[in-house]
Amino acid sequence: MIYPMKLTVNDELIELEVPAHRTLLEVLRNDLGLKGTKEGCGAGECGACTVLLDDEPVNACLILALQADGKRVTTIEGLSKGSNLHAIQEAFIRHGAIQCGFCTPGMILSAKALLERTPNPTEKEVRRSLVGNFCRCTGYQKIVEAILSLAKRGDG
Amino acid sequence: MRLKPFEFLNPSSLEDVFELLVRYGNEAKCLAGGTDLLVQMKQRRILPKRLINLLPLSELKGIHKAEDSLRIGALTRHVDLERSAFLEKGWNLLALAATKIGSPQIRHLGTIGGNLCNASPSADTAPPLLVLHATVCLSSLKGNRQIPLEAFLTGPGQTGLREDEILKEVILPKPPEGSLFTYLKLGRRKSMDLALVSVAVLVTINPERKTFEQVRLALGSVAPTPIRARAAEKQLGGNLIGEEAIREAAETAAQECQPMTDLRATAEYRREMVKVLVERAVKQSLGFPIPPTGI
Amino acid sequence: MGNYSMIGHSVPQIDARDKVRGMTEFVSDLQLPGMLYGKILRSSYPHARILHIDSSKARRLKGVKAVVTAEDTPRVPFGPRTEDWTILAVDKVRFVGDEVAAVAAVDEETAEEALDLIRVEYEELPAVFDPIEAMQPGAPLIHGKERNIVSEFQLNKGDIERAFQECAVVYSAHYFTNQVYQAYLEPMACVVQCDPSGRLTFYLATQIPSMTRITYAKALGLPLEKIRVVVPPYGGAFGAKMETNLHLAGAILSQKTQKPVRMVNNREEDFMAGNPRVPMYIDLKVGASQQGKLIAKEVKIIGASGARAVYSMAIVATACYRVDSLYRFEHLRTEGVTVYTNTVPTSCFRGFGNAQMTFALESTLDMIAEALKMDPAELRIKNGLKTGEVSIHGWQIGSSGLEECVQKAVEASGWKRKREEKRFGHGIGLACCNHVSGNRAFSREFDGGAGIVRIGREGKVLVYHGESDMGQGQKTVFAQIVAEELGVGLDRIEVAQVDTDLSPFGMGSFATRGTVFGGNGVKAAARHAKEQLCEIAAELFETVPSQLELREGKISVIGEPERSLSFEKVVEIGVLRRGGAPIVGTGFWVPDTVLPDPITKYGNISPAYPFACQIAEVEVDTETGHVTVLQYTAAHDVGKAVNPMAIEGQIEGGVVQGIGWALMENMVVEKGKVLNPDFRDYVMPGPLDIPPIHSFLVEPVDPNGPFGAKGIGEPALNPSTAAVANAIYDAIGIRFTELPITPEKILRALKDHQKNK
Repeated sequence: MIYPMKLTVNDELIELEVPAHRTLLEVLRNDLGLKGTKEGCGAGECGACTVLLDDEPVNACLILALQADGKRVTTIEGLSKGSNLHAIQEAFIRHGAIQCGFCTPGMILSAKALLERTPNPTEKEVRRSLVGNFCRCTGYQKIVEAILSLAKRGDG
Repeated sequence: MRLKPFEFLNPSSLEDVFELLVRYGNEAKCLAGGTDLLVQMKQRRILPKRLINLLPLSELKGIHKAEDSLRIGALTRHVDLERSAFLEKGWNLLALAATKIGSPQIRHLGTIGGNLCNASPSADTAPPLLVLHATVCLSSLKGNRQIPLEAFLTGPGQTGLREDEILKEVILPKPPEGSLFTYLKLGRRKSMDLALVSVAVLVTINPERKTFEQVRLALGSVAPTPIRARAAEKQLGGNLIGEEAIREAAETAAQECQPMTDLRATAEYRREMVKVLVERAVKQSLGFPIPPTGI
Repeated sequence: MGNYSMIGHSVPQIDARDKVRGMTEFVSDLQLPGMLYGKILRSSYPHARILHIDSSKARRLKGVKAVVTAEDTPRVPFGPRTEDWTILAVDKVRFVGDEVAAVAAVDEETAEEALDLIRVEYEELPAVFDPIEAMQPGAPLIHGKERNIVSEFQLNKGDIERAFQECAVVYSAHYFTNQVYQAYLEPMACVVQCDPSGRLTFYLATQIPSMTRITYAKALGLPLEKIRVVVPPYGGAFGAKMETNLHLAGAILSQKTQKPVRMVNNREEDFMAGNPRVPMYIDLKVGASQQGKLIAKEVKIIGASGARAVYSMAIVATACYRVDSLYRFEHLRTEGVTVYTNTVPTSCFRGFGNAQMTFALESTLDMIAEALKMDPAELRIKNGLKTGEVSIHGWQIGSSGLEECVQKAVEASGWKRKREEKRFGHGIGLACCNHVSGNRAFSREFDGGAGIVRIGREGKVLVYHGESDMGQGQKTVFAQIVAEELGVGLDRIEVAQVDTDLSPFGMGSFATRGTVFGGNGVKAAARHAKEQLCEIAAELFETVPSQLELREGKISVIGEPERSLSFEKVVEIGVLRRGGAPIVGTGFWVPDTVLPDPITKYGNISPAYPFACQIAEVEVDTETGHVTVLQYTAAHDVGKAVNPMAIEGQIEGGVVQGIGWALMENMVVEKGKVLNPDFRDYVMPGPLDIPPIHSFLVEPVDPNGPFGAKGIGEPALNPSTAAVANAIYDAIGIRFTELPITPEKILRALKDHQKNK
């Protein structure tokens, strides 16, 4: 059975029809071609599929698309405007926080969610915010450094 | 692995839910946050023909404070527990436990109702709720009934929920004045893990007489359900506060649990860790220093 | 040392902008017109005869385009080393996860559904899971080989018996290194497309494109030219991503359907049919003189290859003797056996056997240091090979920064002070390692690296190589090397994806060889292009090429900066004068490595040998057994560091994998079945489980590496398990010889220890 739904993806309202068992991840990747959102485990353990749902980080592999009906989704593709990168993206590049890059989209979105709630995080807070984003290449250090470089020191 | 097809039912009210439950019985499953259910479905451990989407039901959301109690809607997410201003004093124990669940991503989806209905022996919200004397309100066409959480959790993956019922809310009575509390969770790593052992403790003390008054202890992952450690509680209640007494009670707790061996840990280790964690948890609740422990 | 504009600079990966925007198309993102989705039916038995396969129901399912079994394949035995594979199981299955049949359908869901409809009748056979049991008489034979032995390795030098008698200290122990999983974030994947002429294009996540092509040609019974391998970006490998039946099943399905087919393992499949680390039993005995001179080493290793040999015998061989070129042993007795078991085939994982042996050796060395009352750091310095030495196996150490690594790590970690401040539960431990930058023994027929540099009219430099960037940043290093040679900025350089139709033949990315081999290859190619540019410019300036230099995007007469032209102007003039032909530089580099003698193993397997010293500081919770790594210091001899930031990234990632292996990572296998094929129960360190990692680069200029560089990939992990184990020993006085060192093991040992007191 096919169900109609609406989704605002990266500021664009999209109407689509999906079967009930389709996950948000499958809709993003297969129906909308937004392949920046990755599948690493399918069970909510690796965080490669992290997207922001109404500005909050969630595992797109653990949500039915229909559960997101009427909500706002931000994927990695929605972060940069044209050739202007988001500050977090710039920081990841500058600090060498990227190796294979498969975890990077989810990692950046988790960082965004953190910095929006906690503009001046401690290192511990940064690390805690990333526990759901698995990275096997970098050992996390440069990722943590990149995010900390954006902490708004002194004004918090 | 991909999900198998099913029908998606979008009720617009609680009554709709009840009717759907009556109509479809065990062919239908209620969907809350989905963080456990969808994984089980992907792994083909359960294959419901229908999912009843509870998420839009505002009746099941939110935390409401009454004079002497707190009512937490079943769809309240872990992240809402973490952030709620209502979860103050003794109730804050629940918020503390919620921060130790999975990842931020999981905490933004998973709900307290889902956590309890999934009925894992390692459910992080259960031990705090047990020591907070939580009751659950179960709802069906026939009306509401309230049972203590302890009676609700009947076994691994098993609850006292009838086929036509849903868990509507969790009710917390006011914790005793001056409650001291903590939650310790030991995993294999410092995040993103299921508890090998978890301990929730809530105590009150008489500072003049330097005695324990009320002592409540609950353990996770060391029995078919999260349990109260009543013998250990009894041992401490009313007695002088002292390291030796705490240690002895911790040993009693280790004796009264029924841990299992699985690929995460042996029963012996879990039992031993109950001893260590109960001792540390009681000490920490009293403000004694303890080594950094667990998640 | 030269004054470089590119080499030695920390630059971000050249494709980082795509990666942060989610624009990088990984293999599992590829979508070709008309593409189908393939899935594999895997055995749920560890050892069974296939009596009958009924796929009729699956074939009838709507959306299914092909169902294939061994009948549809050439059934030619093949394999990268021993020919013990077939694409799909012929007659019997040998491990849980073995490939039995494959389906192509219009989507993944339909393909999965079709798998459920295939009925396979099996007759279960007795199975064997442990290599020691598999070697016993009467054990079930997995490939019909006597005692299930894949291969044996022996190497004896000197007079071991007498040597041990003369040693002041002899320490022997039995070690076990367990089976761990690489856990790259993108599971194994491919897209295979069969064109109407029957030519197959494989879009693969593979570390060894050219060698994979050769193996697959044999498996498919096709001439080499009928196979093209393209390597898009892929999400990590750490040794695992070489040949796999996943790719070949995709090829069969594509041949059958004449459509492109994408195959992606789900995580569970990747655990049960990937290529985890070869588990090893290691009996090690080492003797030293009173002065701390290491004299004799006796080792016996039994490694479990799983149900296919893959590269396991080479990995066991490496474990047997690579460390002999770290320290100056004089007497050796070595025996290695590689044995089939009914478990997932094991293979390469960062360290290639040297990581397993380094755990054993470096643990042992600390016990010897203790017996001699010697500082463990001093013991390493005293015995470590130095620049210019030739090891017992003929390895020519062109540069060794080992001593400096030890000194740096010791100094930075506060080693001396922390060793003295004894507190139960707190400890600090050190371990060293050597490694190679390329392994001559890996491919018998040749050794070398090559590159092509193509400069078009617009001045864009396109670099072709035959290696493989699995995410470590190899492309960026190649770009830096070419930019340095041509005196241009990185923005001018692009590194082409490997495509066997266009790229040079390369051995690929393993054995920490990328920087040295690929780097030297593209450097030679850039130099060739530069020569041509200089010839063109010499004509314009009416001088000789040797009077010209390429710097800052200009070609100038040396010492006369006013006589210069921009790089792109010279290129443009050259291309137009040559009838439009691009400037193409081709180059190669063949090192004077020596293939080891089959009997004596004497040779020189690598052009450059990296070294390292790592120090871990730990706190052991003696009530829970949990270990917290507080600080980590890693000093690595990397030769001239081409990209320090990338090297630090390699070190940090390697150390975390090593800490994970030391403390928690373990594939739990029961009766051949992996019980924890997911990230929930295959636990790895998360961001809260790891300490700050302080990296130090020691940079002796190596005579063979490009600009003096050596490799870093594997040494980053090699010593980490031993460093942690040694720190735990320092903390609680208990020696752990089996990995991982879990809280339960620690607690049990602490209790036993107290009882025995």
